[in-house]
Amino acid sequence: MLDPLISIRLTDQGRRFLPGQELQCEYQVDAVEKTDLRAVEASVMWYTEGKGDEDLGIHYFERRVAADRAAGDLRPLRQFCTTLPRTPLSYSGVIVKIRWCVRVRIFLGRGRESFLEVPFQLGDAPHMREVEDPE
Amino acid sequence: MARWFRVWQKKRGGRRTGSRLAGSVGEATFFGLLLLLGAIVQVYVFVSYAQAPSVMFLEPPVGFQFWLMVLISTSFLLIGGGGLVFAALQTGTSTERRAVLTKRAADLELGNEDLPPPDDNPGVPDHAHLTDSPGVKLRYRLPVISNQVFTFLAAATFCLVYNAILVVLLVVLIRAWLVGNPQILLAALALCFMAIGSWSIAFFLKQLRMRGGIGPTTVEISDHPLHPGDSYDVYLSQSGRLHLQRLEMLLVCEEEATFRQGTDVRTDRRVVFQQSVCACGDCQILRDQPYEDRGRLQIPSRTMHSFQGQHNVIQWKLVVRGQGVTWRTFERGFPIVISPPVGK
Repeated sequence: MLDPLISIRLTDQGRRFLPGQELQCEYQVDAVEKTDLRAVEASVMWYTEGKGDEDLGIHYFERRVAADRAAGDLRPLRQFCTTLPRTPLSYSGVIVKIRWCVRVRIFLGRGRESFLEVPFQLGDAPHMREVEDPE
Repeated sequence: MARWFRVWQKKRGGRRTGSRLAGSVGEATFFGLLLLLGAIVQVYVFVSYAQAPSVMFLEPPVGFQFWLMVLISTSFLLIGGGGLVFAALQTGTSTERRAVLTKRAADLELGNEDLPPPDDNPGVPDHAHLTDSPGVKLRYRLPVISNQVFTFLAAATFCLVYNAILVVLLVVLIRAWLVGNPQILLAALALCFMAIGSWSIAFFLKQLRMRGGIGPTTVEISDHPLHPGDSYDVYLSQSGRLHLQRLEMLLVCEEEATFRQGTDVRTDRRVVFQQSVCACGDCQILRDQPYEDRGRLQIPSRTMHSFQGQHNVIQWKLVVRGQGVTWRTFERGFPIVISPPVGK
């Protein structure tokens, strides 16, 4: 059985955004039966990477459930747009990193799920390096 | 998702490499079995009690054992039932959806309690507590974060407890010596204890002298929160009676990550930015004449703002560091918040 295909495209822009800028996104699900696709969630979110446990924040979230829709088909192209917040900016430090992404998660029959995320950068915070203590 | 069942899987914080579904099933099975065990034990205990000959309701021979079994089985029921409900709620709910539900619940609570709504800068720490104290020379006096008190209390406790044990050991040794039964091995052990005990006393006295000699440090700032590219006046005052080889104020950015390692919760910190604001060498500070200095704090135009997550923090602070002549460096931190540029 083929794995379902999820495609995400951030339209009209590159992958670097300024705070307050509008992000337009479209996504689509393929290679899956209409009846097997139970729900689709799309999020614009940030999460941390690095040494610490993961923190995450959701800026935009939508959940579509097949049972709620007359046609019951969640596969066709779907668009949304959202104005990005001022913070937190994308950041690449020594033990703390902040990543932004658009994540689409699909829920299939028998409890299976799959997701795809497309990273993008918010702001232009510099990369940081550890400062050596002169002592 | 893992294709094959693996006994050993990697887990770090909330992330794991194995199948989420298998994990949820395992969790639910564990709590289900605990619930079942609790129910069986409780039924058995009450049936045994009811079948006991000529027993009055909860009167002797109902004793300690009965109540202990009831307590244990009830705890099994509560933990098993609660865990099962929690596992059921988590199954089929993505991390993102749970985060959204938590955020909505928090927003509802805020609305109910008439608290100020969340600001426009998510992830930037609240700075109201940093501006509630007016300064004498400049607009705000910054609060101090100090771990010196903790060091002093730890040194005092260790010194007290350790030397108390040493005294008991010496008493035992002397009594044994007096009755003509000298304990050579115990005496050797006592010598080691005395060496560490002497060190702990010396360390405690040094801490005491530092606390007595170094008076309060005051830092004031002309505005707050700070913004990248802007500059601010800062004022430093150091009281006490001490002679310092060097006293300086630094602008520092520190990353802080909290993580679970086994059953421990650990915190790691790394300094990623450090810039001198003002400094002086060979400072003689007198009791009635504190050292005072002013400086200009320039925030780099392209820099990261302050960030506060549950496990990850990017903290900016002003650090006052003094190098004593007869003791090691002392350091006091004053937190500041750098917000993103206004209007961009």
